[in-house]
Amino acid sequence: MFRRSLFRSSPPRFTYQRLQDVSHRVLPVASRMVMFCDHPLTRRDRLRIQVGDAVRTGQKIVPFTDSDACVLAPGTGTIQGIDAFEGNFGSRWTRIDLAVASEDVWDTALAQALDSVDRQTLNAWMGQLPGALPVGALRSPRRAIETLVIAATETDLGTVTAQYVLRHRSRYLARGIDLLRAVSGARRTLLAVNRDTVQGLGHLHAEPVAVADHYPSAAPALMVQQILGRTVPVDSTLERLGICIVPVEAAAALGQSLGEKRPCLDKTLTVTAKDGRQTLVTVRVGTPVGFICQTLGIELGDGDRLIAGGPMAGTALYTLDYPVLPDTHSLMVQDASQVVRVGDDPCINCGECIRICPAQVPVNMLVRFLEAGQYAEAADLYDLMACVDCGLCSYVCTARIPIFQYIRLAKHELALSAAAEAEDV
Amino acid sequence: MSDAKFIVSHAPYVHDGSSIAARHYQVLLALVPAAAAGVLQWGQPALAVICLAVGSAIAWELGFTRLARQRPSIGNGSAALIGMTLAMLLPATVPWWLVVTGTFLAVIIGKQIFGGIGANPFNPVVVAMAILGLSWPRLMDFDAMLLAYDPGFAMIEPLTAVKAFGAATAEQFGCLDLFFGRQAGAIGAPFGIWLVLGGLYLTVCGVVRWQIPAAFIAGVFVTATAFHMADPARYAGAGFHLLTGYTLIGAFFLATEDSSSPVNFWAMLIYGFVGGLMTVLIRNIGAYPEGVIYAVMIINVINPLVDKIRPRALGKVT
Repeated sequence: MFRRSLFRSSPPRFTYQRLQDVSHRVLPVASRMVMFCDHPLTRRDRLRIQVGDAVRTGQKIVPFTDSDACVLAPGTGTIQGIDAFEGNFGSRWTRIDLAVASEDVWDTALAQALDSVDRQTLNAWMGQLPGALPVGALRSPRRAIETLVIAATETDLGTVTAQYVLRHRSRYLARGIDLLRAVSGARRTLLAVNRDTVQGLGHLHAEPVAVADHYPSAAPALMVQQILGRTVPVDSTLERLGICIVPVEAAAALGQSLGEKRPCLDKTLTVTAKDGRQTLVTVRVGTPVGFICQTLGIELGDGDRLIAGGPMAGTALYTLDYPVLPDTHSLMVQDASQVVRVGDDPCINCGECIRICPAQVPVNMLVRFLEAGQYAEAADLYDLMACVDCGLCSYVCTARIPIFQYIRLAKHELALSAAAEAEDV
Repeated sequence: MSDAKFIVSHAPYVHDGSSIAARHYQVLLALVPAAAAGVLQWGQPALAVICLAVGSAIAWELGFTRLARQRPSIGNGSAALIGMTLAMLLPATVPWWLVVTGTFLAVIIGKQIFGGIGANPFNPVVVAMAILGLSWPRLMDFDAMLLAYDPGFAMIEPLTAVKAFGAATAEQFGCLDLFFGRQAGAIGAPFGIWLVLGGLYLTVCGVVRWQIPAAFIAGVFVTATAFHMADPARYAGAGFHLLTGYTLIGAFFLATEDSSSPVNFWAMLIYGFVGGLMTVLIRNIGAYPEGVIYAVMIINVINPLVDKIRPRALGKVT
């Protein structure tokens, strides 16, 4: 699928995968679960939890006394370990291991919170629901939300998760959309779908709008341009324009939580094995990816690559303990023989990246600045911030430069220095 | 299973399989028909020049990377391509030392001292040809160098003839003859048919960006036609200019060198057109009968400037 033929006078076009012939399995609850809490663990931190504590399914755990970062317990059992975990770009998390002991005993503390939800009671834990609800944007007191976009589009190639949720969980989705409309106060609610699925969505109280089916049309900036005809200026954000994008699975999970009066913990993801065979699986958030591979019979060996997310923008994992997170929409396994190494040649100015870039970023010039670490100049002169993070430039790069990684690193560094400046002032 | 060591790297995890080496070998392949035609027409000396040029270019690059303690880069085919392209532009009977000097100028002066592949502001082959032409004009003079040949057609270099004796001389060269390489000239450059086929192959493969050769040829055509209409007695027509000298190899192989050419749509059209325009200007009103080498150098210079003509990026206001 991904190698191109010799004759290629036009840039390649990838279309998002269709939900066809992909079987679905509900996997059992794993005996070990891992929760990732978005807060660094340091020696000075005082914790509300300790190893040996018993937790119940769906319990909201707030590990730190000085932070409201929280996780939802994916099973009933005891806490086995609390460790620091370092992710991409130095992001630091707290990892909480859970030994699942018995049948589910559901915690009822959140049932009350689900009785009536409004903007004030939108709580951080709802961001832990499968699909990752953008709670911060929905609650933001600074900006009113004018347009709510429920994104039933895929986030990467090789995944059909959003389409599955749209088709098979529409009852809960309808309820979730109604709630989000009320909570956000949005004047318009749109349902962004792929072109051929616009039909049959009348029962959802959202206006279906079609997004082109070639990658990366569903990237937020490009999607907004297509469905609203508005361009997001590089120095602005969707939030400032009054646009809030909610993944379809988050809306469905919210609806389900409301309906069942307990938090929905089931995440659906598309798993692609080494041979390209795909399975949709539904597991609890927090299930280690190793458990999924084992259950599906995917053998893993030295030199293989395990990717949370899709082939264009996912995250390569080094451990099978890594859990399914609320925003893990797919899991992909590559055999060692499929792994293409990056090169260390300089840019030869062939222009492939220029022709494929959906945001018209002058990648050939940009990469020269990024290699030299001149991030501010890259943003000022060569449109770094216009990048929509699709990864296509790296895919076509003749010199096999990790352009996309350079871009991510630059954006990360600029965000860090902007944050540092804001602190100084 | 749990103690397997995975490869951790960054997105994306797929690649289209292209590489610098494959790209250069494709260009080399596209030059092979013209080179073969050259060997058939000019015989064993042509073969010797091609082999020496390719070999010495590789040797210069290997020597340089050794000396500079860099990773050997000859595997990417760039040096071999430089040698091959240079050979295509030389007369078949040049002395061996001129070939070796030429590849030194191209590989070391034209490319490596700027930082190697991708960093050269000029096409290395064009740099070498410009210096060789200025330093040893008699050895680069096709009429003098090809005296020993009698292949059965007029052995007078067409551009020099027109420059010296006026446009009427052009009529003795049939367009088809010129297109099939039946003219005095370099080893590979006269064989328009094979150069065009090779260039089209590269265009279809996406190695050559079609805008550059198309605009270059259009530039030659428009300018030559304008001159011809202004003074038909002095200036030859567009067909003659397109099929003689280095025009076709310049359009498809010299102007399109990656590092020294633009990548944006309008920039490529301007770059190519100016190349064609300058070629005819130099030929018709300049001091030299052939203008492609200097024309390509000039457009290499304007490349960074014209490549600023680019579409506005997403979300960029004003």
